[in-house]
Formats: sequence, C-alpha cells, structure tokens
Amino acid sequence: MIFNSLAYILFLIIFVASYWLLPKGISRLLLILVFSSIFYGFWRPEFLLIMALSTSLDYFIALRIEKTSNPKSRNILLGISLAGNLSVLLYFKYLYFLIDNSTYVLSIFGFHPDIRLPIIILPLGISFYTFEAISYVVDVYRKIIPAEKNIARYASFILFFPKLIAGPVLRAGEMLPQLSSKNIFYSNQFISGIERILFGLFLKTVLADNIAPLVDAGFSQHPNSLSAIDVFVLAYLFGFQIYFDFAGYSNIAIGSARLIGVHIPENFNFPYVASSPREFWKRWHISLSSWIKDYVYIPLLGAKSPKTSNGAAAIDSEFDVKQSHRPYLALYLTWSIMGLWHGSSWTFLVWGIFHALLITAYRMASKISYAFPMFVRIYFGWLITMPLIMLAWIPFRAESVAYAFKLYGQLFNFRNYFWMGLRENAYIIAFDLLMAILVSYFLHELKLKRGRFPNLLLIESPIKILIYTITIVMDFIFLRPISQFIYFQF
Amino acid sequence: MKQLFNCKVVGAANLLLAAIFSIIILHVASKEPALDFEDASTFGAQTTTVYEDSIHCKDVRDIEACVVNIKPDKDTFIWFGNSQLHAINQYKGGEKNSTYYLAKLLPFNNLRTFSQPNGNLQEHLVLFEYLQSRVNVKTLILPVVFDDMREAGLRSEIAALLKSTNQNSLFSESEIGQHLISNNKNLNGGEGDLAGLDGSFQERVEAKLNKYLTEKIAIWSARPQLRGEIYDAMYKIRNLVFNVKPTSKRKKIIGRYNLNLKALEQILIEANEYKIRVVLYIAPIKNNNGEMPYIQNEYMDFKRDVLELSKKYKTEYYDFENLIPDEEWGLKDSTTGLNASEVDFMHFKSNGHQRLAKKIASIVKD
Repeated sequence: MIFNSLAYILFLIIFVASYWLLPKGISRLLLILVFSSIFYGFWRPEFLLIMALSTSLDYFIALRIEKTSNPKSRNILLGISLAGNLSVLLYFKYLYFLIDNSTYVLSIFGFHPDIRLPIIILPLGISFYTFEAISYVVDVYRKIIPAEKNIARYASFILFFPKLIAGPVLRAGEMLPQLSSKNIFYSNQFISGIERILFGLFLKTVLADNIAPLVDAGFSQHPNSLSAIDVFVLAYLFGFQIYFDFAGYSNIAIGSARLIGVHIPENFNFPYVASSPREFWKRWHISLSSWIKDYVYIPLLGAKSPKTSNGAAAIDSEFDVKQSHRPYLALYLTWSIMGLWHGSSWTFLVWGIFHALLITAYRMASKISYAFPMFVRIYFGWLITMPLIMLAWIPFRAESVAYAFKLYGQLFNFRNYFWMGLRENAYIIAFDLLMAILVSYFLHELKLKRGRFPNLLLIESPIKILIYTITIVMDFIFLRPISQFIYFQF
Repeated sequence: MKQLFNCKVVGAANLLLAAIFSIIILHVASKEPALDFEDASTFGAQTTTVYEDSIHCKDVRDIEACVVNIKPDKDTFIWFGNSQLHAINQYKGGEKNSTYYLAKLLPFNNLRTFSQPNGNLQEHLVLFEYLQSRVNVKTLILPVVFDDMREAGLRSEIAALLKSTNQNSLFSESEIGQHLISNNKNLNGGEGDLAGLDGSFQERVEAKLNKYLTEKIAIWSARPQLRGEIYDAMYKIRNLVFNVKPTSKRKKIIGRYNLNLKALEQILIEANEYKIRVVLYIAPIKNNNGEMPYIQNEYMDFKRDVLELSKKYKTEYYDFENLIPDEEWGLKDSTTGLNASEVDFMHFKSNGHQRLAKKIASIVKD
C-alpha cells in the first residue's frame, strides 16, 4: 500500500482507532501484525511468506546466540543468519546484475554461456527489512541487546507497516521496548503525528510529484542538447525531488507511528544546508548512514564495535580513522556498498564512489579550512558542498553510467555555460525551491529560538493555523497515487 | 501566557480550526465555474474552443470512436495541429472553425482533424503511425508551428497509442521512434491518477474509493478543476513577476527542437514509403507590425529547416505565415490576469478559419 492514497488514509484511521480501543498487551501486537500484513499484502501477498521465513530464522537464531557462550558456535549462528538474509537479498536484488555482468566478462574471453533466469520481482522494502533483521542479530551477538523472547513482538518490529517499505531503517534496541511498553494516549503526540502526516503528504503530492515531470523530461533529452547550466539545474531539480519524495515518506512514517505512541527517529534534518559532505550525511537518510557506519564501516576499519545501537546517530566519516591502517579502503568499500544497496546498477556504484571522493576531498581540505573563521567555513563550505552533492545525484537518476558521464562532460566545455536548453519554468522552479528550502530552514531555526522572542508566541497560533490550512487544502487537492515513492525500488 | 499557548487544547484547536477553514475554502473554490484546463486556449472569455463532433477528434483517448465511421473505400484526409485549428477568438454563437469549412469544401472525402493544445510533432508522429496502419490515409495536412517545436514528450493518451505499435515498423526502427518508445515504456502500469499503483490490488480499491467520493462529495469531484486553477494561478504569477507578455520572445530550445525536427523527418519518410501525400505548411502567425514572439534569426532558421526537409523528401511546402490579414486575428485574455485583452499570435476569428480552410482546400483539391 502506498501512503499517498485514499486507501492508506482509510486503513490508518481504522488501525489507529482499533489500536486504542484494544486492551494493552498482546492484542495490540497482533493488531500491528495483522494490519502490517494487510498493508504489505495490498501489493503482493505471496512475499509475506518470504518475510515470515526470514523473520522466524532470525528470531530463533538470535535466541540460540544468546543462550550459547561458545564463541565458535556464536560465530556459526551469526554466519547462518547473515547468509540467510544476504542470500535472499542477493537472489531478489542482485542476481540479474551478477549474471549479466558475469556473462559479459565471459564473452570477452570467448565464452557465451546460455543462462536463463526466471522472472524475478523485487519484493518491496526487502533492502530495508533485511538490514533491520541483520542489525538485530548482530546486536544480540554483540550483546548490545537481549534476544526478543516474544515472536509476535519481534515480527511486529520487522513488519511494522509505517517503516516497512522505505524505512527509516530502525534498530531493534529502540523499537522493541516501545512495542513492549503499554503505550498511553497522549493528545499532543497524536496531534504531532497528524501534523507530520499532513506535512509528509505535502512534500510528496504537492512538491515531489509536480517536480517529477520536469526531471523526467530533462533526463530524457540527449546530453548534447543540455548546457552546463542545464546539467546543474537538472541535478538540483532531481535533488529536490528525491528529498521531498523520501522526506515526505519518512514524515508520514514517523507521523503514522506517532499516532499509536511509537517514536521513530528522524531520518532527515535539512540536508541541503550542509556545509560539508560529512555534515550532509548527518542530515540525509540518517538511519541508513548510521546503520552503514555501525555494521559496515566500523568493522571494515577494524575498529572496536560500538557499545550501543542507535539509529539516530549519523554516520561520522572520520570515525576512528586514526585507529585504522586502511581508512581509505574502508571508506571506498563502504560507499560502494552504500551505492549498491540502492540498486543493482553501476549507476548507484558511481554515486557511492562520488560521495567517497567528496569525503576524501573534504578530509584533505579540512586541514586547511581550519585557518579560516567559522562563518567563512560554513558559508563557503555550503557554496561548495551544495552543488557537488547535487551533481552526485546525476548517476543516481541517469539511465546508464554512460549517460551520466556525458552529462558531466557538458560541464567541462566552457561554451556550455552560455546557452540554455530547458524550458524556462525549470530554471524558475529550481531557484524557487532552493529559496524555499533556505527560508524554511531559517524559519525552523527561528522557531527553535522562539523562547528568546516572547512576542513570537503571540502570533504562533495564527501562523500555525494558516500553515495547517494551506497544507490541508493542498493535500486534499493533490492527493493521488500518481507515482510511487522513489525509495520503493530500493 | 506561554503555558496557555503550549497547552494541548490549543494544539488540537489549531488543527480543528485549520480543518474548518480548509473545508470552507475548498467549498467556495469548488463553486467556481469549471474551465477545461486541458485546453489552454480556453483560458478567459476571449477565446472559445469549437469542435465539429463528427470530424474533429477532440479526445484522443477515444480515438477509435473518431476513426470508426471513416468509410474504408474512401480516401481519408488527416489534419493534425494545435489549438489554432479549434480555437476561435471573439466567438459569436454558431461560428465555425477551419475543420468545418474544409470538410464543406471537400464533400466527398473523409476528413478527420486531430488537434491538441500545443501538440508537438512527436505527438503527431505517434498519431500518424497509429492512423496510417488503420485508415486508408491519402493526404496528411501538417502545419508546423515554431511554438510547438518548444514542446516535448507525449501526453498520456497519445503515449498510450504506442502500445499498439508494430515492433518491426519503420517507426519502431527509427531513432526517434526508439526514443519515444523508451521514454514511455512504463505504459503497462496504471495510468492517470492511479499510475503509482501499477496494477496492484490497491488500484482496484483506490478506484472504488475515488468513484464513491466523486459521486458523494462535491469538493472531491472538483479536485481536478482546483488543481488546474492552482497551475493557472502559478502561470499568471510567473508572467506577472517576469513580465511575460504575448510579445515576449520564445527562444528555441535546442534539444526539443531537434527531436521535433526528427519527428517531422520520420513522418515524411513514412509518408513517402506509404505513398501518402503530405501538405506541409508553416502555420499562420499574426504579423504584429513585424513584432513576433520569436527571435527573428531562429524563426528564419526554423523555416529553412522545414523547407530543406520538404525538399529532401519531395513534399509540398507552403508558407502561410502571412495568410491571415490583421483584422482576422483576435484578442485573448491577459497573460497575467490583471490587464486588458492582449494580442493573440496564434488564434484567429472565425473568418480567419474560413480563409485557412479555403486555402488548404484549393491545394488538396489539385
């Protein structure tokens, strides 16, 4: 089921009402399980079976790991769980990619194997729930959390519908206690949940879905028909589209969970105001970057595992670098995995490597930058970081690596900065959106400091009513499942 | 005071008040008279869309209905175009457009006109590919408009025609054909407002819920209209802010221009192959004392490109740029919604339609 639909709104109303009407305890857990299954089943019910199998496997293995003190047995059990989860991911997500590329390489050496694969449909959300399952078993293995004894609770965590299809990637340590607790209805929490849903729908249906045609039209043009300015504008437009799309989804997920008193950590925090690549990854898809840090980057660095498991702690690309003998190998491997996690295509790998290069450049530049005052570092850093981050989106959106590089090629011809090849509206909209993001960031900062301006409190209510009204009206007018969320394909 | 504003009651009251205001706004907005936003030429009171039901295919979604009564033994005349073919400025009751007049002048022939607002040559190519495989097309009357060379892509109802394209056709094997097919390959999923549901069980549920709400709640059924009004308001605000006027220069957009030119070439290639006569003409445009909404050099290059293609494929070429005299052009509503009527470079009055039809009839009758 997709969030930007009437069916979801109706579904959510029935779920939330039933949740609060039911007595606290197991019945609420079962309700979450049933509704999450319905939510997923609206797309393809047969894939529920795969989820049930992998969930059961991880549940029992985690229990065994906890009971076993023999390190060798614990390692074997962890290996079984990782192999199980990763092989499911490998089959559904990467098999075509691996076979295609293997046959291509073999063909260079004169071998032409005739490999026929069945039609494989990628189960929605597989990358998200697989990572959650892995983190759960690893956390139990690392003795950060105890194994969950109640299978209904564990299954509710894995299947919890608000985050099932496109995250945030949650940690068992932060979710299981919430599913264990006897949640109490708090009206302010409930109102904040509605607020987040309205805001998320606005980002998706009003902004992302209306930018999409501009982006699609731009990326369907021949690279030679796009100037350097057009390449920047397209990169910005797609950067805005994917941000509004994914942040919209995350807001609806956070809001939906909040309606039943469950707190999902924030996944975005104004990523496009970042003044360095490192800061960007503290603000963008926070749950994934922290997951990658804890379960990929730190082990690859050879550093000590963290003692806590916290999805809200963002990736710190300089973490323990000094302890490691292979910081750059770890960095590039991590970003390759990060890229390929998004999809089985070379374009995503290029996107990952692009970010690794940005971080490398940042590490080198930061040594010099400390000679400058803070405000210079922030504003100058933003002026450099923002366009580079946006340009990194090009392979992410491009149909092929060749197309992405052709677009990049347009940037290196000086003459391409003196003409424009898109409709005038594209430039206007890109500029307007950039301004809107900056203004909303400054308003957000102002809101955080409103205690210093007592007069602001007097107008807070009318402003809120105005913003709510605009959001409700626009959501009502634009609500339609005209497109899926971009992150559904990952 | 601070406690008062932070209390839960205020939070809930804010949301409730906003919901009430929203309902009032939506209710008031939905009472506005409905406009056809699909047809940009109907904006305002000055320009009116007129279709000749039996010969003028208004809605490509119902293309089968448009071609079903074409007599198979008769040679068929197809006329493609943009809103110039169906919009009449300063319309007076009972006036007719050029399709009507041309049909009158060609009484023994089957004429079908397909006109879409801002219809581009890529769309004309897809329509042509569809029609030539189903109907005995004898003559294609094809206007070429510089404005429409700035357009790209296929509207969904025309893109849907690609589903029935023969994979081994000249079209499918051409560069532009492959470009159009690859850029519209997601056609097997859901369409329109439910496109994101991609044939899932939710699509059926969603369609039923939508149908129910459309029938029962007036403001829900007014949503497409309200979306159109929002886009229209944004368009007018843009024009106001950037001082966009009818005389503002529309620059050539190189990528789109080249694609449309390729589409035109493909139409001419296929027409030659299938022995279809093409009457290619540069569409009339108002000569506003020599002030055009285009950059002169770009416009002259455009005409030269079209002429060269017509020579290359031995197609009849006519320049109707100055065909319609000044007094037969009309006025359109203000671009910003604030000013008085403005000069319209694209649409003429009914007598202009008559003149265009006569001219075309004199050519195709030869």
